[in-house]
Parts: sequence; C-alpha cells; structure tokens
Amino acid sequence: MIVEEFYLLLVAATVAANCALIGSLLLLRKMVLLGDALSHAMLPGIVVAFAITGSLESAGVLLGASIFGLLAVALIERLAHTRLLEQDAAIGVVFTGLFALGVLGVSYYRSVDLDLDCILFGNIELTPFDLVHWGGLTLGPRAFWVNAATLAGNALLTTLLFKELKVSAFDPEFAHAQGLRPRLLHYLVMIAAAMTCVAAFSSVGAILVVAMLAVPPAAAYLWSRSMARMVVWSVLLGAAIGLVGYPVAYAINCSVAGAIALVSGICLVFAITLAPDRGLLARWWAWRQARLRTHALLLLTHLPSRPPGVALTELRQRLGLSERVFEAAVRYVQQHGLAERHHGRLIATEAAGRELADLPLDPSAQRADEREQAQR
Amino acid sequence: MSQRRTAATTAAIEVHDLTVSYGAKPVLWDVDVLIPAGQIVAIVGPNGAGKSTLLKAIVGLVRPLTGWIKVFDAPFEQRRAWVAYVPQRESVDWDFPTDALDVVMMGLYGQIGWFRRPSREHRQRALQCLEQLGIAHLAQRQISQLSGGQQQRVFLARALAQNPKLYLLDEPFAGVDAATEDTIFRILRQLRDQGRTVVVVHHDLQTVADRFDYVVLLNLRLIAAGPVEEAFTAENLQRTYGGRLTALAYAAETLLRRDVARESQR
Ligand SMILES: Nc1ncnc2c1ncn2[C@@H]1O[C@H](COP(=O)(O)OP(=O)(O)OP(=O)(O)O)[C@@H](O)[C@H]1O
Ligand SMILES: [Mg+2]
Repeated sequence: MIVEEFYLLLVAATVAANCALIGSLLLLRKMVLLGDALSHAMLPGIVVAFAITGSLESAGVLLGASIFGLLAVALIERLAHTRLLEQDAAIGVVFTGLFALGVLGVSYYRSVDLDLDCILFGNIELTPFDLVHWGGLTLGPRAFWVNAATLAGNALLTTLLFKELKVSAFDPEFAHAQGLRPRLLHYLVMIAAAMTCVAAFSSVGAILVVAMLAVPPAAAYLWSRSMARMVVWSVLLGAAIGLVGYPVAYAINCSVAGAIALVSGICLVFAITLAPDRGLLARWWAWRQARLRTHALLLLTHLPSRPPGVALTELRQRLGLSERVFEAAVRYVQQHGLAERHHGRLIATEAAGRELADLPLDPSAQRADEREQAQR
Repeated sequence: MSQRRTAATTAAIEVHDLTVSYGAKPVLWDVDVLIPAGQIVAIVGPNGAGKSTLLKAIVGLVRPLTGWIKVFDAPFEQRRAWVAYVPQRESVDWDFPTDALDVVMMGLYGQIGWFRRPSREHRQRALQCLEQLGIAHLAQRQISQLSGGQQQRVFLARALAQNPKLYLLDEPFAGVDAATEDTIFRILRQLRDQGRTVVVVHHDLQTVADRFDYVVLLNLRLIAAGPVEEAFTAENLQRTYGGRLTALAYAAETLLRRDVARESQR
C-alpha cells in the first residue's frame, strides 16, 4: 500500500500548491470568490459530458468543465466590463445562473445516477488507483499529471509576467497607460484559474478547491511584506497542508478532504494570531510595548536630574499609576539607562533629556527640575 | 517665480470635438482645447465636471463617443513613453503587499518591457526619484503604513521615474500639507523649466493664479482655456461654478490679491 499512499500525498500536495498559487493572484485582485463561482459554474459542463459519455471518469468531463469554466470567465468579464454591475455582483450572477442550469441537468439525469455529492466533495482517496500507463510503464496517478501540467503552466505565467501581474493588480489604470495590457492579464489570470479549478476539482472536489484557493493565500497575505514572498509562501503552505492532510485523516479516521480542510482552517487561525506586523498577537504586543514606553516617558517628565531625586512612593502618587504599571515603568527607565536609583530615590540621567527632547511636550509646562526648585 | 512662457510653441495635447459618456448622459460635451507644451496647466471645475474623465480619455482609459485627441501631434498609443499618468490616490488599494520603492519602480516597467526583470540600475533610479521628493528614508516602508501625503509623493516619484515629456496628475495635492505642496510645486517648476509639460487637476482656486501658467476651466463642457491672466477671470469662474458662493468668494479674493500684487509691481 506504500505506493498508493505516496501517490495520494503527491496528488494532494500538487493540487493544494496549484490552487494556492492561483489563489494568491486572485486574492490580490479581490476575486477569491471566483474559485467558488467557477467550481459551481462547471456543473452544466459535467452534466452534458455525463449525458454523452455516461461516465464521470472520462476526459469528456474535463473538457465539459473547461468549456463552462471559460464560458463563466468570459461572461463575468463581459458583464463587469459594461460597468452595469460590479465585479463581485457579476461573479454572483453568472455562477448562480450556470449552477442552476447544472442542477436542472442533475435532476433530469437523477435516474441515471449522477451523484452531486461526488462532484462537490470529490474523492481524493480514489486518485491513486486511476493510473497513467505508457508502454509497459506505470507513470503514476492521472490526477497528478493533470494538476502538475496546470501547475507548470501557472508557474510559468507567474514567473514570466510577475511584474506585469503586480502592476496590473495594484494599479490597472496606470498599467494601461503604460501599455501593459491589464485587461489581457486579467483574462489570463481568470483563464488560469478556470483551468486550475477544472483540474483540481475532478481530483479533490469543489469544496476542497475553494478552501485551497482561499486559505493559503490569505495566511500568506497576512504574513508577507511583498507580493513575491506572498506567492512563494502561499505555494509552500498549500503543499504543506496537502501533505499533512493525509496523516491527520489517518490519525482521526476521517476523509482526506475533510482533514485537509481542517488543517488549513487551523493554519489560518495560526496565521491570524501569529503573523508579524499584522497578526493579532503582534499588534497586541506592539500596543503593550508602546504603552509601557509611554508610561516610562511620563515618569521621566516628573523626574529631577539632580540629587536627592525623588522618592518612589511620592512619585507613584504624583503619577497616579497602579503599582504594577508603575513598577514596570521604573524598571523600564532603569534598564534603558534613563534613570538611576540612589537610596530608594530616582534621578534622571543625561540620556533622559535627549529622550524627552523628541517628545511633543508643552513647552510652557514646568520641567521637573524647576518644579523641584520652586518647592524649596 | 520664473518668467512665464506666453506664446505656445507647440501643443502638448490637442483635443478636438471630444464627447465622452458613461451612460446616456455625456459627462464631457464637445470639448475642443489645445494645451501648450512647456507650461504648468491647471484643470479646474466642480466635482463631477469631468476633469478625471478628460485625463482618462487622453490616456485611452475611456473610449470617446466622438472626437479625437493627439499628444505631441500623434495618437496617444504612439506617445505612451512620453506620458506619465498619475491617477487619483483613492483609485488604488494601499493595502497591497509592497513597499514604496517597489511602487516607484512600477514607473519603469514600461521601459523595461514585457517579461524582463528590473535590474539594480532601475532600483537606483527609483531611489533617486524618492530622494527628489524627500522621502528616500521611506523606501522600504510598507505602502499601507504611509500617510496620505506620503502616498501622494510616492505616486509622484513613480511619475518622475517614467521620465516623461508630459505629466498628467489627477489631484496630486489632495490631502497634502502646505509645506509638501511647496516642495512639489518646486519640482513641477523644475520640470517645466526643463521644457516638460505638467497638467494638474486642481481644486484649490486660491493657488491657481500664483502657481499655474495656463488654466482650463471645465464643467461638462469647456468653459474657457488660456493663459491664467486671460482665462482665470471672475466671469469665467462664475460660469464654471454657477452660483456657488464659496467658490466665487475664493476666486474674488485671489483675483483681488493678484491685482494688488500687480499694482505694487508698477
Ligand atoms: N466609471 C464611471 N461610470 C459611470 N459614471 C462615471 C464613471 N466615472 C465617472 N462618472 C461620472 O462622470 C462624471 C464626471 O466624473 P469625473 O470623475 O470625470 O469628475 P471629476 O471632475 O474628476 O470630479 P472630482 O472633482 O469629484 O474628482 C460624474 O458625474 C461621474 O459620476
Ligand atoms: Mg476626479
């Protein structure tokens, strides 16, 4: 069974990486839902192919799905271009229309056993048994080759046209004025997305395709400071999720597709909490650090620079801070060499003056030294 | 301020019989205008007057119903490399994962050409442009973390990187403080003195008289166009803005200030 397991991992990683690549291009164009739309819009193509060939495993299904995928892309693009509808509305209208057509077809063929569940959820467990043979050789699962071919195409598109894709996603009007054909690129991305969905969906089902299109790019987006890094991280994360899915499925005894979706959900939660800069934890930490520093600087403004300094208890009362916050601030100024402690009294150092010089302080307010003198 | 070029030697932009419409109602009606080369040109008019639309028509972003436009005596398609277009700042997503330097580099993509990658020289060039606008220290900053005025300057740096003969700037001073506005105008004057043409969609009527050589007044149709001294009159402003009192009050004030300045020069 080892070979089959290896095949399964191979298919899962390829599909997930492929979807993650196209998904990141879609995310930057604010079109993540296109994947969802496409995987539904293909249904009539599948039904027609099924009606003609009588099977769901034929190349005809791929062809039918591709035709309707491209039709959906063309309709969405035409409709959005008229500006009668926004892009997202155009996507919504086209995919529900085509999906409805597909559902009609399915109910018409219900008697001939066209299983809607199988279309939506797919069956990645079966892919290792659908092998490609050439001469006397076994070349591995068909699903792998189909997805690897589209992955190669997508990778070529992304590397060759990287800067064009970037500028046309960021500022299409500017790109157009420079002669960089943003509409053509938009079409190319949508066609690539359609082909990716067709290839992926016939192996793993529509739901998983949508998850893989959306989750790794979203996580990578939070994690990255440049588009290049975002795309690379997205692909790596996609592949990793694909690889981890099977062992998890084995461990908790559920379907592979379910496990992959579960793992990707967990990844997203991690990304949202742990991402540098934009993550929840990073933001919370930055906020805390800034607050601590603010308290410390506030404390400095009340600190004389000459002996005997000021007693800690008095200082705390003057500032009106809670004990915990006050102690943290005292520790901060000492650690940063902004104040020194002599016999339980605190004195500002020279460095403190420089630090305070950058603050937007009210110049008419009395400095601590002057206050001290006035008190005497 | 350096001397103004009064006589236009060549036209940078020639718009003939231009009508543009997004739906049934035209937003630009039969516009005929010549924009002279080598000047700083203001396009003014109320919101929805079609100022942005005019710029978009020039760079082929909207297809006119009738009329034609020539840029330095040829269709825009043949003059792309000569023109830098800076859209309104709100027209892009500033959360895009990239930094300031990278955005400026986009100004060079047209020159670099399809499929090829920017080189180290391109980076240097982009950095110089950021320097010119005084924001080289922000080169590595994420664009989402720039202030509005800094974003505006990044956009201008991108236009500088293109090294064009004609600049088309859509509201480059929106949300920009007075000091930055001065810096930017100094750069625009340098560009003009090098013989380049700068067209600016502008909302601040008070600064038109001092800072521009030429003005185009627009409100769905062309109201007037000409050297500021001739075309920027109270009457033309009245026709452009209708009965809007605030706009007229501004205009009256600037015109008055200009007359006073002239008196004192004599
Ligand atoms: N893409 C579009 N689709 C439909 N109508 C549009 C579109 N863009 C602009 N308009 C309409 O065309 C008219 C002119 O718009 P334009 O953006 O050229 O005005 P503007 O002079 O630049 O105004 P502002 O000072 O507000 O920027 C407006 O009435 C606007 O509603
Ligand atoms: Mg505008």
